[in-house]
Amino acid sequence: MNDAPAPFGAPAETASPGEAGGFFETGRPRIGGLLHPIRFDGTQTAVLNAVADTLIPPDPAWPTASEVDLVTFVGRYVTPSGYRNKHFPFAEEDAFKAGLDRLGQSFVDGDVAARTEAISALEKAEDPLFEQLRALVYYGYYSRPVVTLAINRNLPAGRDYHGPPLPYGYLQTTEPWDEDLLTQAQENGSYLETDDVVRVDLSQLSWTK
Amino acid sequence: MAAYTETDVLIIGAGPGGAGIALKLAKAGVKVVCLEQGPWVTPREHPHYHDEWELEKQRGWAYDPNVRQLPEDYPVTGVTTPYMMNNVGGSTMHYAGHWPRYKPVDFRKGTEHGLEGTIDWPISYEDLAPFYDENDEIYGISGRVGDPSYPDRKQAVRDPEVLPGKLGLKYAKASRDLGWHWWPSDNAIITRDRENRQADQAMGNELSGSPTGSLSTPANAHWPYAIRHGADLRTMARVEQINASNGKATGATYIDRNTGDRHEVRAKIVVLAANGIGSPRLLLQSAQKGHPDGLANSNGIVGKYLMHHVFAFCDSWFDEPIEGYKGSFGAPLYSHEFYHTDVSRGFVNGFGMQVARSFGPAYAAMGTHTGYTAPWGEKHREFFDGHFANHLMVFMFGEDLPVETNTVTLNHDVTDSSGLPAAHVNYELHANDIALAKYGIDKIFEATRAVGAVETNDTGVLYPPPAWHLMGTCRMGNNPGDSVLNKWCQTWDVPNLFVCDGSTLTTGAAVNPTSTIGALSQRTGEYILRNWDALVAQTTTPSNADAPDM
Repeated sequence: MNDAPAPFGAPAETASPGEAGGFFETGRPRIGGLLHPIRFDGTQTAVLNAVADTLIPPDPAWPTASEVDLVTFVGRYVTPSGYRNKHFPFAEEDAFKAGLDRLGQSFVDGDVAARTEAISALEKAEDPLFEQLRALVYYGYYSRPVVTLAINRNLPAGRDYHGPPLPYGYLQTTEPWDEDLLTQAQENGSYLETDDVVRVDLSQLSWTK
Repeated sequence: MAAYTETDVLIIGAGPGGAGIALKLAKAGVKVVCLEQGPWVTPREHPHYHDEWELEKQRGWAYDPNVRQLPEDYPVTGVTTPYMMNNVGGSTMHYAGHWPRYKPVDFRKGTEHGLEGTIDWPISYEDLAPFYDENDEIYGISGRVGDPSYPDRKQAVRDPEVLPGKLGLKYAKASRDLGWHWWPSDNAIITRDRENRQADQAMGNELSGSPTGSLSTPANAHWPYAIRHGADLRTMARVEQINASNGKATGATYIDRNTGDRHEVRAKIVVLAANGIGSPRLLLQSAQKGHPDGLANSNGIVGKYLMHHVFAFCDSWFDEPIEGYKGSFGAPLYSHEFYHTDVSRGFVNGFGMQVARSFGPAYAAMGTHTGYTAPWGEKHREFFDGHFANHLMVFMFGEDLPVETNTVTLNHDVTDSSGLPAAHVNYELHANDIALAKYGIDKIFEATRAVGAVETNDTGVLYPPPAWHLMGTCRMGNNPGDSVLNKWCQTWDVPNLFVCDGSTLTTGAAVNPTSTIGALSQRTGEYILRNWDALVAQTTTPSNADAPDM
């Protein structure tokens, strides 16, 4: 493993004041991932989009996974070559690209059955690439604002969902307590006073037998 | 310039234990230095305003320091996933803010059953009750007084309780229909504005902290005020050793993580508040002349009786909206129907049912809390559409027995970025805890099925435990043979060395520990203030009977 400091702002040790972040360096990885995303070549890009459409198949009511720029999202959350691969989803550039290359143009050209078979093979082999791809596609797809709009449109339970928790919160759309229910809550429950605590009958314990 | 700093009280750790004492002492004019190995967490580091908030929860906001690996973190080896942050405010910087108290029986578990290493606390609920109230007011707590499963708490100051949403109302109705106890939760989440803090917006995701200050933590409730009163809070200050001479603590040596330089602070009283793993680690790491097995460890009890609570996560799905992404996280309610020991169930102790919130769509796709990951491929759309936000999660939250062989020790083979040894955890679930947890899982699903759950999934009894709570490793007790601390949190070996954090807790109860840690810090601070001259003059630690009273 290369010990060069990660560009997320997660050095192994805190930088000296004035250098590489200095006093404001917290070591926490940059929110949003890399400022300069990893770049993928044409085939790798096509493979990523084909993987996205295989994991989340196109549906007329939903944005198509290959059309929401997951490639840039993935590029922001893969660890660049030569840096410590220390943050979720633990995908290191060289190994990750090599995995995409192994899937290659034949994966892109394959039909749904062929693609499904290829991904299933990765999953069965417990290839770490499978979990990395699934995490990046699920987290990426369901973080896109255009998908949030589809959730609002398509799912009764998601009508009010607005993506990031802030700045809006949900104060206006969250149900308040029901006074009758609160009144009923006073009817059940009791506690033992300090002086009323006595030894229980330990012969009844099931796990000692 | 002197080669060392002199102060009245040195506090190690800027989390709930240390902050409560620091604020109380600083307000009274006592000179306080606090050493904290991490930095301040700033609002812009929180992910709540970002589209990627759900993924970020797994990265810089991962709760396990072994995953997060920030420079202020230290490794914790063994089969464990500790919930720990090392920064101003400690692990509260991303807690859910659940704020229940212990009940009176929780201080008398030695009398009730005395199993494994269980002993009575040297104090009672009544001793601590006024300090719970005092501590709650400092933090800012929302909730509702009147819970019949607790002694009267009319003195407790409360903001209005957080909103339940469909989710909270659902489980409240389930409990009601079964005739079970339930009550709206106390949460360390403000619902009214305070100085420099905005009231909760029902945003959720407090497990990544709160950039608005709605989550009550020492970083917003204590330190700005302690510093205003003259407390000297030194961040990036990693303590290497607590120093002792002639049976008393003299202070500590720390490494400035900005420069790598070592500094010494000398103090009349030292308070260790580095959490249930960090405090025993530092005491063991402070082995020195006269203290060959670590400081305050002549009886070998430092690091023993580690408790985490026993957990199972229980997911239920309904065929109607539950909207778990709404509302503070922060539990809306809990049920203590099965809190008290009933040996006819086959185990001692009990559990709480703590109703949690959910997160967003990625959380639903990735399997919520129980690893129920959405299938990929042709079944994905149907699964996601049927599960997202139709989901209700309840924690089965049980008391675990204090077991002597559940320990924190040092691991010299692994070190932090300053070369200090890692903590090593050995923790195994006790048969009693497993029996308790299995019973609890069944009861939770009994409730959700009664109100129409169409599908359920659970983790089983979690092992390794989520280790959200780090307790018992420097416990208070009744004599030097059963504990590390006397009833005033003084170490038996070193009278001017106090320990006040999760490690102090004699037993774990079946509730989140932070409100109790905070109450203990208020009590310890008050004791130090009232008995300053006597404490500074002590050359040995008095027994509980002989110690000067409040």
